[in-house]
Amino acid sequence: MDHSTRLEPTATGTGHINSFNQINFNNTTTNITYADEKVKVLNWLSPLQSHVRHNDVRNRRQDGLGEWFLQTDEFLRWRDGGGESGKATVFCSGNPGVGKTFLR
Amino acid sequence: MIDRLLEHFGGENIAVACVYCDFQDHERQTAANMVGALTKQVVNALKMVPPEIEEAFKRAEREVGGRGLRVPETVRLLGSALAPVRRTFICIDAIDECSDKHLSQLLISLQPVSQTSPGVRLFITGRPHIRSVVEKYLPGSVQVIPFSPNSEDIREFLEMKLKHDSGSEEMSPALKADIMKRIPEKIPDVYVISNSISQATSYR
Repeated sequence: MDHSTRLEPTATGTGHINSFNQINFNNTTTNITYADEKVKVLNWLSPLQSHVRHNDVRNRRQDGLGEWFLQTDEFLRWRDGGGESGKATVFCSGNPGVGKTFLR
Repeated sequence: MIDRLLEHFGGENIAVACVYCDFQDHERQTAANMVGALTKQVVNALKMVPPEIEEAFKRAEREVGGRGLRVPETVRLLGSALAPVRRTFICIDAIDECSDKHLSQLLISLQPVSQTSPGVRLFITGRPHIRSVVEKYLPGSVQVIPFSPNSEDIREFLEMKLKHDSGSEEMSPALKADIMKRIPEKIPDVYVISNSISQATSYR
């Protein structure tokens, strides 16, 4: 699934920058100007680039690993809850190497 | 999990932001940079850069030499970014790999976000020992779910490893079958699958 279709498009339709998506400039000069400005703001907010690590994880993981975890009542309550229903934070506790990072 | 959330809620007004903590990146992984990274990802999912963030950026730009963001300001900006989003999922991976100094600052920064914004859900992974620290800074709002792979996970992981193993063409089907049978049996309570697999495949 192409995730650029999942997040909301930017106002100019130039795609997403520095997130889980590839840089994707196109269209008119106006759009590029706005996108440039946005890139500056985004880079000012933080030098960290989580999408790089995310893409690495995505390429290395095995679909289906830990599927049971994502079906637990606790997880679903957390995902679907809001406001008073369910706790706002899940702490997924496990030793290194068990695959927590690779949950799909 | 990020991809799964995006698929599940696709099309809705949601944002997902994550930080992967890393022992080897302590210098850059300050609390301000980590909170900033979350803000960055939420802003990126928005149609427009929120005016408060735009203004703060312009102010900083005017200062001589530019100025890095400090924690209180990044927290305020994260709030501005979150306001227009109905649901935001924030994932912090391997929080125990965060340096002590920044770990507490990060959790303190997430406190107001998780407690006053009903649309914000936090997902934190880490080694069991860090649980008490997470609970200390996010009191009353933490649901702990232990993760340990079951035998199905181990089988799937083994299949993947065998498929990608450069020598697997030469491996006899009997050996493959043996690996697939024995390893899940031998590991009743596995917690370091990756190590077991690399040992197992080096036996051939």
